[in-house]
Amino acid sequence: MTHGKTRDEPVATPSRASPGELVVTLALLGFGVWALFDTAGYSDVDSVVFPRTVGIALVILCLLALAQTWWHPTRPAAPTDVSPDATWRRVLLVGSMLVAVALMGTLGFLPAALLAFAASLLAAMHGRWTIGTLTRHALAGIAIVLGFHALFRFGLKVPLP
Amino acid sequence: MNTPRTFPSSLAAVLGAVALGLAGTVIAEVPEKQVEYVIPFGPGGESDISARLQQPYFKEKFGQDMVITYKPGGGGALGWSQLNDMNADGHSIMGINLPHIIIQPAQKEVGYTTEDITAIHMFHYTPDAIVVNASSPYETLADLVEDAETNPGKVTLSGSGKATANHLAQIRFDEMAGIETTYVPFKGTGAAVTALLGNQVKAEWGYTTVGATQGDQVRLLAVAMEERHPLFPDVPTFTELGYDMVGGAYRGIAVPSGADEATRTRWADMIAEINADEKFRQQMLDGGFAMLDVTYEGMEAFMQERSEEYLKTARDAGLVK
Amino acid sequence: MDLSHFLGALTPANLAFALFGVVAGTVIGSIPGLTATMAVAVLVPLTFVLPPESALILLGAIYTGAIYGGAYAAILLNTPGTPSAIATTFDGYPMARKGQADLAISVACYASVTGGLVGALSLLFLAPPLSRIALAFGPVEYFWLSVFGLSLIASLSSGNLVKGLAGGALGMLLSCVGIAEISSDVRLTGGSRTLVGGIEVVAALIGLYCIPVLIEMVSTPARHLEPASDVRGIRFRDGALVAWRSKLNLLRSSVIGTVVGILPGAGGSVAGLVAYSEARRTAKPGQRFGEGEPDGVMATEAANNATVGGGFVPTLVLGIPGTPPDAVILGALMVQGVRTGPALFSQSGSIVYTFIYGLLIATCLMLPVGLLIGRYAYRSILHFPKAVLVPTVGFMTIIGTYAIRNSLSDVAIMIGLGTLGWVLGRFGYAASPIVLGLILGPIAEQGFVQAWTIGAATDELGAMFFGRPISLAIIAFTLLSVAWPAVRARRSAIRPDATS
Repeated sequence: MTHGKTRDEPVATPSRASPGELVVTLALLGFGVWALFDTAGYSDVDSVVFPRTVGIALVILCLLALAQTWWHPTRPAAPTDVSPDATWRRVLLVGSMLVAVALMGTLGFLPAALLAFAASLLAAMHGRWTIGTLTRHALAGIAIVLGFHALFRFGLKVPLP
Repeated sequence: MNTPRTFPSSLAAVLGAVALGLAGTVIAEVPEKQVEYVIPFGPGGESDISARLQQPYFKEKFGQDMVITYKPGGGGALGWSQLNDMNADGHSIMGINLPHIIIQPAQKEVGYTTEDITAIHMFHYTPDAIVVNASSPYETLADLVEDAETNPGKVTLSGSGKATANHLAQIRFDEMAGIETTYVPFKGTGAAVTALLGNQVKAEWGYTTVGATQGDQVRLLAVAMEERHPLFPDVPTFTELGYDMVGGAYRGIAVPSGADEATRTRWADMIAEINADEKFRQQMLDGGFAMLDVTYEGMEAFMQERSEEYLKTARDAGLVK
Repeated sequence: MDLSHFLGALTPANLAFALFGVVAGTVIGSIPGLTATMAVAVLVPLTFVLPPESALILLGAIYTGAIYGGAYAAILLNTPGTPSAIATTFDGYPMARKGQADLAISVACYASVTGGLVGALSLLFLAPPLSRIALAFGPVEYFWLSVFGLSLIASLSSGNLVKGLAGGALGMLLSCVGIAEISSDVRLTGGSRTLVGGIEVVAALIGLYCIPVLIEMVSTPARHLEPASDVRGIRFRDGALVAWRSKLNLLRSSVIGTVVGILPGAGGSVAGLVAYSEARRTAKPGQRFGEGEPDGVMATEAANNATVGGGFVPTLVLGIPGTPPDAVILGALMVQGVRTGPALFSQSGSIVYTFIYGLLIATCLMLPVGLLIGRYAYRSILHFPKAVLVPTVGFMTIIGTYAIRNSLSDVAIMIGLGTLGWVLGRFGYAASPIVLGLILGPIAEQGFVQAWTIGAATDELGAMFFGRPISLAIIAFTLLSVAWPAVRARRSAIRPDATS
C-alpha cells in the first residue's frame, strides 16, 4: 500500500535517520509499554491475554523498526511541491476542527460548523482572494453547511447539538 | 351544615385549580415533537426489537414520531454514562437493562452509578432459559445436570457477555444444582445462538426469545418464570423442576435526571399505556418476551430487590468485590 | 420458487422502491461517515407501512447501493465511504492520482454489480447449504480467519514489513480500549470516561484515512486530482472491456465475498481484503498492485457487494444477522411479524423469494444508476475548487462521525487519530494496517478466548486449534500469503525489474 501519492521510490541513501522517525517509533514503543503496564491491573485473566500478546509484539516490532532506521536509514519520501506556509495552514485546519468540536456544545452545531468551514477555507485557499472568489466560496460554504445540516437533522433525524 | 367558606380556602381552591390547569398543560406538552429513544446497544438485539415494537404504538397513541437511535459501546455503559447529559425536556429517553446497570458500576469505574439512572418503567423481561440444539442428547434439564455432575467443567454453555443476565443465571443455577459448568462468553445473543446451532457448545444460557426466533432448531429445557410461557406450553419452569429461579434480563426506559416529576410520571403513563395494549402484548409474547408492569412508583422497591439478588450472586462468583 | 414471485418483484411499486433504494443508498454510502447501517436504520420506520417484501426490497436496495457508494470516496478522496471499501483505496486512490479516476469508478460499478449478482444468486439457490457452512465456523475458525487477515497486512506492506506489522499491532491495541466484550474489564482508557466506549471503527476509519488527505491538500497549491489528458466522460466502454478481461478475477472475488459474507460478524471489509490479496497473489506479470491497478479495485468491489447477498443467508435462514445492516433489517422484519429463521422459507416463502428477485433487480439497476452517479461524482470532485473541497470534506467528516453514535467525543477522537495518522504516515506507518488491526482485533480476541475456554473445558486444546478441517485450510492460506512476498522477492531478483 502506498501513501496514495505518486512518488519516486525512496532512494536508500545512507543518510542520517530523520529524528522524527525515531521519535515516532519511540512513541509507539512507549504506548506498547504503557499498555503492558495496564494489563497488570485487570481482574479477569481472559482480558489479559490478547492485549499483553499484542503489546509485546508491538514493543518487539518497534525495536526492530528502530534497528532498521539505525542501520538502513532511508529518508522518508517528502511529497513534492509543499508550499512554504504549509505549517500554519495545517495547524489552522486541524485546530479549527478541534475548536469547533469543543465549541459545539455551547454554540450549537451550525455556528461552530460555519466557523470551522471558514477557517478551513482560509487554510486551503492558495490563490489570491478577490471579491468574486470570496463571495462565491462564502455562498458555497453556507449552502453546503446548511444543506447537509438539513439532510442530517430532518432527513436522517440525527439530533445535532 | 354550612361550612364557612373562608377567604383562604377559596383562594386555595382557585390556586389549586390554576395549578392543576398549569400541570395539565405541562402534561399535555410531552410529546409535542418527535421523541428520541436511545438504545445503548447496536441494532438487532432484544432492546432494539422491543423498542421497534413500541414505535408504531407510540406514533398511533401520541401522534409523534419515536426516533430510535443507537449508541453502542461498553456493553451499554457508554449510553448510560451519557444519559444525564441528554436533553431533559422530556423528549429524550434511553433504554435500560438489568442486571447491567446494577452490576457494571459495582465492578468498575464505568462513568455512572446505578443511582444516576432515573428509571421510569420496566416493561418487559426476557426470561432466562437453557436452550439446546434440537439434535442435542439432552432431552430434559435433568440430563444436562447429570452430565455436568459426571463430567464437571466439561459441559459448555454459550451466553452473551460476562457479568450479564446469562452469566449470572449460569452462576446461580450451578450453585443451586451443585454442579460446575463452563460459561463461554459471546458478543451478543446472536453470536451465542450461532455457536449453539453450530454445536460449538453443548447448550446456551439464553432467553425465551431465542426459542421464539429459532423455532424447531432448538429445544428449551427450562424457563425462569413463575408460570409456563404461552409460547412454550411444554417447557417446564425451573421452579417446577425444583430450582428457585425466576428472572432474566429486564428492560425498561429511563429519563435524564434533570427531567421534572411531571415529565417522569407522564412517560411512565405513556409506556404503561402502550404496555396495556392487547395487540402490543400479543406481539411481544409472540416474540418470546414476558411482560412486566413496574411503574415509577414501584420502581425503587423493585430495583432494591433486584440489586440485592444480583449483587449477591456476583459477589459469590467473585465478579464484584 | 415460481414465476409469480419474480413478477411480484417487477410490480411498479417494487421497482420504484428498488430504484429509489439504490440511488439513496449510493449517495449515502459515498459520504464518509454515513454507513450502510445508518442508511438502512433511518428508513426502517418507513417500512412499517409497507408490505414485508416491499420493505425488504427497499432496505436491501439501499444496503447494496451504499456498499457500492463507498467506493466513490475511496477512489476520489482516499477515504472509504464505508468500512467495506477500505481495500478499494489500495488501488482506487492511486488510480485517481494517475488521472484514471473515471476508469476506476466505472470498473468499480461493473465489479459491484457482478459481485452483487453472484451474492444474490447464491442466496436464491444455495441458501440452505451455505447456512450450514456458516454454522461450521466456530470461534477457532474466526480466530484463524482474523490471523489470516492480519497476515495479509504483512504481505501487503511490501514497503516496510516491520512498520506495517507495527501498525497492525497498534490497531489491535486500540481495539482493546474500553470495556472488553469477553470479560467486562475496562482496559486502556487511562481513566478517561470518554474512552470507556471504545474507539469506534468508522470514526477511526474516517480519521486515519481522510484527515491526512485533507492535511496534504492544504499543504500544496496543486490541484487535488489531475484529469486525464483526454477526458472522455466516464469511459463506459473502456470500463466494460477492462472488466470483461478480468472476468476470472471478478468471479473469484465475488465467490470470496459471498463466502465471507455468510459468516456472521466478518463483514465487507474482511471480504475485500481477502479478495484483494488473492487477486494480488495471482497477478499477471507486469501488473503493479498498489499503484493503480484496475484489477485491485475490481476485486474489492466485487467482494464487498457479494457480501450483501451472502449476509442475507444467515439472516434469513438462521435468524442471525450476517452484517450490521442485516441486524437492522432483522429488527424491521420482526416488527412486521415476519419470523425469520428456519420457518421463513417454509412459511413465508413468497416474501423471501419476491425479495431475492427484488434484490437481483436492484443490483442490475445499480449498473446504469451507478455509472451515472459516478460520472457526476467524478466531475464534481474534479472541478470543485480545492479551496472549497477541503472545508466541505472536513465538514462532512465532522457531521458524519457525529451521526454514528451522536457523540461529540467520537468526533474529537476522529480528528485526534487522524492527525496522529498523518504524523505516522510521514514516517512510514500507513493507515490501512492500523484500521485493519482495529477491525480484526476484536474478532481475533473473542475467537481466541472462546476457543480457549471451550478447548480447556473439554481437554481438547490442541485438537481445537489445529484439528479442524476449515481451520487447517485457513492456516494453509495464511502460510501461503506470508510466504508469498519472499517468493515474489526471489522471483523478481531472478528477473530484473523493468523499473526500480
